Amino acid sequence: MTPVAVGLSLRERWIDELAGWTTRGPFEVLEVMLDDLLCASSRRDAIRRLGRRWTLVAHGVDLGIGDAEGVDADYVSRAHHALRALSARWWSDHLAFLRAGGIELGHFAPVGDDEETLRALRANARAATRSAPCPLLLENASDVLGLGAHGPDAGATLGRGYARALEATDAGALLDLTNLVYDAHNGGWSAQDYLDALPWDRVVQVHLAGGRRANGLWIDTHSAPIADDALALLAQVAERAPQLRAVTVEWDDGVPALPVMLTEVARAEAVLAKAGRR
Amino acid sequence: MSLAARQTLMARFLTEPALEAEVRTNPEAASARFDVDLGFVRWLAALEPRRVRSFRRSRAVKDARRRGDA
Repeated sequence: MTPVAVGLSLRERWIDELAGWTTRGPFEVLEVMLDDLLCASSRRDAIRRLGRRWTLVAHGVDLGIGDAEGVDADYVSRAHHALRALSARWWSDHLAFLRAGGIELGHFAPVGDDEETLRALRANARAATRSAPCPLLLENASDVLGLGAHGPDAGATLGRGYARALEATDAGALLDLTNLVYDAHNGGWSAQDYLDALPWDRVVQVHLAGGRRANGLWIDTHSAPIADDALALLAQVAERAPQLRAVTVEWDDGVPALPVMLTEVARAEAVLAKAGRR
Repeated sequence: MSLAARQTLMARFLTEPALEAEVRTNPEAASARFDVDLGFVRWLAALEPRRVRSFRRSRAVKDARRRGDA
């Protein structure tokens, strides 16, 4: 199968250091936060220049593809402009709703699996991807509310729900393995059942990160080394996903020095190499 | 009950502790007051309180990060 690139989700702390590198180093892809490109910032040019050495993909948090009220046309337009300037290979956002009734949730609320939701997803995806310069991936947002399904078939039910949403939107999948294992732990269901329900030919990218446990719940805070359980699933993903193109590591809180991140990227790289995807 | 109405009520439930308390305490009254489907209100009322608190904390962290406070 096609080799898979490894990389990291770019943070401000590393931009100048990476700009000074004379080679690509041990990774191939940088995931750029779309927010960083949409804000008026002198850093946008510095980020774009990194594209001379690394493949750039973009990750957003404001699309609200599950919003019944529709996606914001102005945001979509600005996002497309930014993606074009970046020459992004693809962009991603979360399968979630963000705003309703004048309330900006600012954090991902879950979408259901009913026909009305699927119609909304279909319409929003058409609006978001019409004239887009690159394909859209949707990430399995963390089920913080534990809304998922319940019972022994919960994992399979949730996996099928994600699959139906991807089909309705015709989007690729950004499979966040840390979200998956934490949701499974918190909900008492099988991550393997979830994976077995996925449309593997749609999986393009994987996210890996580490979180923490608080009040009896695992939370994907992106503040620690990659969760072992999540990394353990990467080998299976590498074997089952023929369209997998990149694995990126995230760290948002207490962003470490670059060598620490590269150690995490190397952990992912080792799993992919063993699976024959490097 | 439309998807938009369900999402609006959920958004309020997640961001307004007083409304959350009202829904949990008396979902029938909340259903009548907001003219929403009782089944959906009961579904909201069944959400684990610690999960809702976790959602609010995550939201606050994201807000702080966006403002550059984090």
